[in-house]
Amino acid sequence: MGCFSSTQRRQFPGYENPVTLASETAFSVSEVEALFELYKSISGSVIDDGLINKEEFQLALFKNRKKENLFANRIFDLFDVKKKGFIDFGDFVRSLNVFHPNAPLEEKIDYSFKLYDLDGTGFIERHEVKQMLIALLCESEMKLADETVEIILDKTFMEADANQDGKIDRSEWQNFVSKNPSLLKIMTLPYLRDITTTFPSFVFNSEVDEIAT
Amino acid sequence: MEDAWFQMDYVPALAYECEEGKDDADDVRAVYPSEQDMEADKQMPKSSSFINAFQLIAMSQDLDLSGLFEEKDEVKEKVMLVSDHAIDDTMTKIQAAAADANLLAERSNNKMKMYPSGKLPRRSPRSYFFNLSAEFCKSLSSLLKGKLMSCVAAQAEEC
Repeated sequence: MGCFSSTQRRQFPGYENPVTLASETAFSVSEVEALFELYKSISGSVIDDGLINKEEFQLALFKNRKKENLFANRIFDLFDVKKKGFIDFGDFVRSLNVFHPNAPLEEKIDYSFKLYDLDGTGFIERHEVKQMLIALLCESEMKLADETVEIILDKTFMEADANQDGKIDRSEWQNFVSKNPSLLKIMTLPYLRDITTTFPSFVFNSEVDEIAT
Repeated sequence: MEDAWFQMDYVPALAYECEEGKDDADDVRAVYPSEQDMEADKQMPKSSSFINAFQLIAMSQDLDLSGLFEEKDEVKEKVMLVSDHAIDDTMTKIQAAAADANLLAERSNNKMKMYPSGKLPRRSPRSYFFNLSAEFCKSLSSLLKGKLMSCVAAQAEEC
């Protein structure tokens, strides 16, 4: 298969064979190719080392490398599958795969659970939800009285925390999300279904053979 | 690098978005709830009768990864075309203009998704898109007999 014979690509650190990645994800080979173009531009934006570090990730998401925040950190940590402090191409594609419209619901539920389980204890605890709520309020400059925040938390946990132990476990989360499917909206990026047509720049640079797709 | 697709907003009456690449009707409903949705919400079980912390959290822009897909220097090109016609009429005109410009337009509720109907040329697809959108603009504006706000000029500048 001589499709990706460009030596520049083989030597690109963090690069993984698109055919392999396509076989493990909901993306087609040409879509993985398109993602590689995106990956290249993100990973080279601060340090040209072929890997995405946290600064570059923030820059890509917010167009502002200084914007550290709770959610961005959390997402970066999840994308950084091997916990090395950077995201390589395989991590990038596999993580984005969860956000694909065709990704299994189970994976999205799993991912969102991990996202909200800030300290990784295997439970979403009340103080974590509170932390995220406060972060959101700061970000959106919404002002809610402390009391109101507590009431919101109370009611949320009343519904989500079935055994009332003060924390939400994986199966409680699953039930909760089935009753409130809109909570998983953030876990899907409709863009991903049409990468190669939505972003002309990717098509422009693609080396993929028409036949190979 | 320029994203040749542009968004069109219709200002009068019901404001709704025509955004290529996004066909998620839920998004529209979230932003512009229609009367039907309000009704549906009222009939839903108690879970929607209070604000759920996770629903609030999910509204965070910081959890929206679509920023990854936006071009760095991109100033999203918004072309506003004003339509004096009713919504359905306007939608029909958009579809007609799209057909003129060799674009396929799919309508879902109040959203329109557009994409080229043929295969993209391998060489210079960017200018191909430029031509497509310019044609579309021209065609739609003549159908609407509305004000074309330097659509072609803006596109030309970017390319």
